[in-house]
Amino acid sequence: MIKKVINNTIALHLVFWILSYGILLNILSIDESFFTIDYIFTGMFVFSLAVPVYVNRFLLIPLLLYKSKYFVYSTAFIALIFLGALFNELLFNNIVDFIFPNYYIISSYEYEELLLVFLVFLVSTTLLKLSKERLNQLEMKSQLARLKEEKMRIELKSLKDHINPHFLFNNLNTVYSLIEKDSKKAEEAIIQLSDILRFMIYQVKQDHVKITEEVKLIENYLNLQRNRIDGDVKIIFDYDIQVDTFIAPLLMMPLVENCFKHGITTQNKNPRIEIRLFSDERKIHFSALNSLNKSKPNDKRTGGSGLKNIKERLEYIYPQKHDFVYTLNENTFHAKIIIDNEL
Amino acid sequence: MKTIFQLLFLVCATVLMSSCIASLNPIYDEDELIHDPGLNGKWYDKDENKSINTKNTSFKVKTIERKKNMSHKMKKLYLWTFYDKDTASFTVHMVKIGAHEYLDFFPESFDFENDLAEICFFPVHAFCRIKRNGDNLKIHAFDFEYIKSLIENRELRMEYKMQDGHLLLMAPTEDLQKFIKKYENDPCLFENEPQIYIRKK
Repeated sequence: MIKKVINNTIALHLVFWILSYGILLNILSIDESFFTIDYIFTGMFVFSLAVPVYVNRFLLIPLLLYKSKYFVYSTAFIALIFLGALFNELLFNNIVDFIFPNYYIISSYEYEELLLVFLVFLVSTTLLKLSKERLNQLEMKSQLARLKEEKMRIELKSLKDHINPHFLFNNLNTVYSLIEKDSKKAEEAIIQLSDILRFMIYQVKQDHVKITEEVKLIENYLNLQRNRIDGDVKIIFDYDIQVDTFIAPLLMMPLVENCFKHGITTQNKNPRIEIRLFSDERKIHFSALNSLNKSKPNDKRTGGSGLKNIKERLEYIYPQKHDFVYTLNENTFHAKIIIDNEL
Repeated sequence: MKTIFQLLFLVCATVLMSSCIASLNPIYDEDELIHDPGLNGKWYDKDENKSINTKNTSFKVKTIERKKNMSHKMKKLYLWTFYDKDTASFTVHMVKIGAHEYLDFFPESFDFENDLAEICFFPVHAFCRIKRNGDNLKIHAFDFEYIKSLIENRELRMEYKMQDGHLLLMAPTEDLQKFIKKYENDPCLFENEPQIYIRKK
């Protein structure tokens, strides 16, 4: 409710002037009870205050103060105090009788007293205005941060969604190929795939997962892949988890997938895949190396969407806290991710 | 105090004018006092039933007001003595507010016999507009009933106290002057006919 009033300028001004009217009515009234003449007197007094307050609010502040013309603003502000007090005198000496001819109203205040009242009102309303501006700026800043966060979340979700179909498609193909070859292995593969899918459905929704969960996922995936590979492919998964730290889900998986996608063929001599993972209090090191598929001389994976997705995710999730490099030579492709540990 | 206030009001009403407004504060500031030497003399109304003896005075007369405020310049201070059925003396100050001259009356002749009465004495002022033209003196009193009705109906914003139907203005001098100056041309605030006195040598 209070926030709504603060955000509604007209309501805020109404509250301010009603409060001011109430306080001034108590101060200016001669008797303990209030009569019509007291309401009129206070109303006229408040009106005489409102005019310079709004001149300051709508002219001086935007045209001078906001444009950093501090000296001119100060001079105009002081002049406004004097003019405001003069306006009050003009109102009570010359105008009030035309508006309320049945009443005899005189101003009970000397010019010096009026100057003080106008000074207090103009200073306090200026401070209120500036405070509200500051509040709006902070609100806008936090809204921008929220929007940015939301944008990132949407982009990440889209990246994850982009990953999922690839993942599923490749592994279903693997299971499919196993069903005919070895039903026992196919059964195990389905269990492994179901573990992988469970991870992808539940864990992937979290911002971070434990690195041991990610290790389990890679192991499942590698076992699944081992079942479908024909020939003698050397697959090494070497990990040393000294601290079970947290990591964004599925960050390393595309690189593991890529090893199989691009590096396994019977045409290669001594094909190999080496995946290494190390984590301690300070850093997470991940590397994926695979021998190249020489049957695909035009392999363009250095500019592929998989690597681009990894890069984008790293930039969003670990800005200034990561290193992602990959090298492609004649025989191997080697990608490395180093992340500053978030513990 | 109540009795003396009533007494003062009655004297003021019967001797000075047909009615008058009592005020706690005077309508003058010391610096604003003016002096008209032509006011001195003996003045009579047309039937010669009433007379006023007016002269510059010294500080020998004793009032609480005088004790408090001894710095008045003697030449700007009058002593007016009214002769009617009763006799009463007033210390009088003259001041110009707006386009007109006004007199501020303060009772002078209450010389109390005991200290308690003096402590209880409640000093009030009364005002009127004055216009002298040679040996002609017009005293234009404020319309007490009209001003009282304005205050009772809350149509006039001024500090006051009402006691047993008697109105006592409590407003400071500045407010009284502002009121007189602002509404000096409002005929409702003054009695229809001024009292006219003629000087006889």
